[in-house]
Amino acid sequence: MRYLAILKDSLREALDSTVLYIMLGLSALVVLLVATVSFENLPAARTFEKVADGSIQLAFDLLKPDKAEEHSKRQLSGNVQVNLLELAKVRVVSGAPDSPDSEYTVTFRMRFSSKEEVAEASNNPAAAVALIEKHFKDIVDLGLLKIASIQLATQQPTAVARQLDFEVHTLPTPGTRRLWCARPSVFFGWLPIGEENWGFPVGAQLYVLTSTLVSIGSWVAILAGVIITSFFIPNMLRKGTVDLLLVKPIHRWALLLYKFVGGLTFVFLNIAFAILGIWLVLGLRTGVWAHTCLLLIPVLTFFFGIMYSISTLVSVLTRSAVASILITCGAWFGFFLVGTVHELFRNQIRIEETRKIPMEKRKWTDNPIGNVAAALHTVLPRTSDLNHLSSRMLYSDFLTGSLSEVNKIDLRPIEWNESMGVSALFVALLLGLACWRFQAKDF
Amino acid sequence: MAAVIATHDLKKNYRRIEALRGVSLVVETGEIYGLLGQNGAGKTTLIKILLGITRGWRGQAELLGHTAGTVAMRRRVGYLPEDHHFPDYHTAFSLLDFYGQLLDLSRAQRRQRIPLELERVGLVPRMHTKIRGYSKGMKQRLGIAQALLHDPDVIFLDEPTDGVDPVGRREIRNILLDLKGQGCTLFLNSHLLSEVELICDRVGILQKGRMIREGDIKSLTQQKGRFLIGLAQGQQMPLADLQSRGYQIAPLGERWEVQLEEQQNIDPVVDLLRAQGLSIRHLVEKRQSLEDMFVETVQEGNKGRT
Repeated sequence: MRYLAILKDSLREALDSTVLYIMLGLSALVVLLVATVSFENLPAARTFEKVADGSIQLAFDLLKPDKAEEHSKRQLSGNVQVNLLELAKVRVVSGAPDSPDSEYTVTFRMRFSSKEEVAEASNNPAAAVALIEKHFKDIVDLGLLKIASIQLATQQPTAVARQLDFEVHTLPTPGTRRLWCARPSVFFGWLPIGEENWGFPVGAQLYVLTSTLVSIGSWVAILAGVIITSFFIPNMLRKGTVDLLLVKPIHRWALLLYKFVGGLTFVFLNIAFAILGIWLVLGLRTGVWAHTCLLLIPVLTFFFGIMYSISTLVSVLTRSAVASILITCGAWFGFFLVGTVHELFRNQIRIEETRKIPMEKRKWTDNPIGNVAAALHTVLPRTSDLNHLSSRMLYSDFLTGSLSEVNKIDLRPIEWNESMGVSALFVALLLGLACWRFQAKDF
Repeated sequence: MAAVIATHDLKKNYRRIEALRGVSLVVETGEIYGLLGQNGAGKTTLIKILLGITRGWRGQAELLGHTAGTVAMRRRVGYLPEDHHFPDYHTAFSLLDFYGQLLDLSRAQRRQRIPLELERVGLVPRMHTKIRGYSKGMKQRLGIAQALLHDPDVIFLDEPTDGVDPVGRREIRNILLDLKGQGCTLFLNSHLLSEVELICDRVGILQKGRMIREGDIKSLTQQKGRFLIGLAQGQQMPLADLQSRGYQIAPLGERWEVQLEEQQNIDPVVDLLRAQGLSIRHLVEKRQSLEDMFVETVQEGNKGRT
């Protein structure tokens, strides 16, 4: 009951502040704006055309969460060959035409450099079929489409002799909707984006949209949360207020922890409001239900919890909201800097190892700055890992369909147990220090 | 009677400043005890030690039979701090509801007691108005209501009538006397000595962290050997007769002040006046005001220290 009382008191305090209303208003505005986003499915030919030229595969590859890793890798998967195929014809086998839920026979045209090659492929098409299979592999592996069969077309083009047609029989999967090219618009179709026939896979568009919203939105939400909640504890510790609380039959540490959890709950509710809103309107408007993205609520709350533990300790030590805002934001920037520098060094060291550069010529390995960054990274909260985790969740929702699929392609060497453990320990340590100081302090 | 508050050789330092230098006092059940002292004398520190707000003290301090500051003991204590600051986003009702929850009062108890206490301090008409709109006097009344909310056994009030108008002060005084009637023990810090004089049973004077004087109001303000005598209108005081018998007598307004020596008694004076057929209309042993006594004591204390 006491926890609820303090929580209610924190909420009452937050409701008294105009910043909260601005924050909720902004969240509601974003949710409403997202609700007006529409995706008009383009003809099936548009999607298969982009699969044929490899641009969809390239987009999915470029949007991978571990972009830093790509410094030492090729940008495009080795499976895809640009200019291998071109779309000839799309025929719906069953279902509505141009629907992602339908079954299609798609005719792709493959070009050869000589008549001899055409004759060989015509007599023995296995090698060409294998090439097409490989071209589709990334999409099939991500569960975006099923290939029932690939075979040489019965009717071959006659106009140009150096090409052959292959028929690919495709089956829809639950992920095909994410693959399907669609033209986006806002305000319920009133303001289309791009040219008339411009479109891109819905999944990629949703990923870009939600990533942008989450990265900007979470930054704003956490900053606003830090500002609003930074007043909670200094106000509680104000002379004449704290006395009235300390004479109540409640332990000081419990009072402080309840206040901390109260602030955390307040931000949790705000984040939940925004994320649930976006999840709901996107699901209703596009049919893509991004369930994993709901995990962003605890992830972002945990992120805020790290910041709020700093704010709590500073508040107990200084009783100043301004000091706690400044120091918390400074620490936030510090964590970001440490995470970025550490990541940069880790990638460069990996490149040096991959390229087998001799030790004496390595610039990044055993570098003093890198060593300091690594030492700090060991003990400080891993906020950059949490950002990466958020990207993984969105990628899994809109591109791969599941987190396990992301694990296959995300090679960033993060020990999640260690990362979360260090961050949680940091929070526990700071709260412990704050409780210890509060317990012994004279008022 | 059992001691509700008991301290012995209580000491507290704030770094190099000695706030309390061995204070010993006992307050018994049902008493109204007033602690007097100049600013910085250590009055608030003493209360805060007893309530567990200030720590790191030495000596003995007990409240309701427990070592001062324990969590369980706080259920039985009410407190109104000096310069209190209530969160102004609350209304009087929501604030008491919040404090009631921290005091483990059930919902039913809160629903019953909150209007009752607000009624007692005259805040019911404004109980759903935000505190930021309250006057200083209203906040003071709210402070008293929150201190009484859980029906505590002992109540500490630090300047309870600060900022309250004379009518309100009288109402608060009556509330405190009611509480005393109900067997509640009250510990009062106040600079308004006239108030203290009216309601306290005993007072202690704290100066620079030391208890320099303590006792009941009557004995502290009594001026031994000084009497005021008034005669019926038109009658003359037989000054020569009294002075010839060795009494010092001087006019004081329409009355006369008689100063007795060590071995003298007032009875022979009365006998003489009656013998001369004079009508005695007024006879009272002269007393100091608490304020005079306080100022005198503090000045003596300062002299003693210099």
